[in-house]
Amino acid sequence: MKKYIPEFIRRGLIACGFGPMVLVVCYLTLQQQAGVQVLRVSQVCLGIVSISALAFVAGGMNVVYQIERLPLMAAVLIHGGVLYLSYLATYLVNGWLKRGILPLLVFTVVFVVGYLAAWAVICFTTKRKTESLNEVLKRKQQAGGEN
Amino acid sequence: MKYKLIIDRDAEESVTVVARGPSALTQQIEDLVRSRSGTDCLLGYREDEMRKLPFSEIECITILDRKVTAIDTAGNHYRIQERLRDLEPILPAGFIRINKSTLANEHRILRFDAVFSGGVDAVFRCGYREYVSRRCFAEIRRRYEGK
Repeated sequence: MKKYIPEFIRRGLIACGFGPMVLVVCYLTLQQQAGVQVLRVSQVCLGIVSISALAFVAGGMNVVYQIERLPLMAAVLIHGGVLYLSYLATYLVNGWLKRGILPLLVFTVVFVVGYLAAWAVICFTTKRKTESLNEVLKRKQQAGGEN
Repeated sequence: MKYKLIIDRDAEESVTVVARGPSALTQQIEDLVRSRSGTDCLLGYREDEMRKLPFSEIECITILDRKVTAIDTAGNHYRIQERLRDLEPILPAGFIRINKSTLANEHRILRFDAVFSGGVDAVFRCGYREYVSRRCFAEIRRRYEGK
């Protein structure tokens, strides 16, 4: 497990360079959609720091897919769980998501639905791949004569 | 397929097969050569017993409790003295790597099972199950299906 920590940091550092670019998109969206024209210095600083941290975590977390023993779905769940918490914290800290049950619920539902869809796709794809592989294996064993 | 016999009293005896891919015939030739040269088995240890384990009777070789272990067709576990990476080059082509610490006899794999977590298990004829890593699964698919 120790070897994955430097890899997490390496991937995170690469990704966090893109944080401010993501923030530019967020601010432009707020300007266009919410009519935000003025930002305080503290808001910009908080935005840069929090989005860079989010990008660091999101980039670094890709390392879970490198852990061979971890089944793909477990990797997706860990990755998804950490991303959910990171995004939620970033949105709340920057005031992009209203505090309250309903906004939190909407955010959570959108996230969970997305991950359930990913889960279903992965299960279906894996099942299809194993069925096709089993057919080839069966043919190969019949052709070679079972031991 | 052509047959070529070269008589050379001074040369070291060897059998070379040129084929477009592994087949039942290449497997039979390999088994015949190995049985003639006495390299068709491993020594396995269990309690006070030492046994010759013919490759065809080995379901898989894996690491259990940090020890290299061969599992035979009856599901018995035998400790092997060689290291896994030293075994790989001497095992017949029918032994495939299914994860970082397991070499499986493909003739003894009953099927591949997609598990709910999104991973894949190899189920052997003796009932033993072992996970297939994503990297090895892709490699097995390439080998069997040419994908």
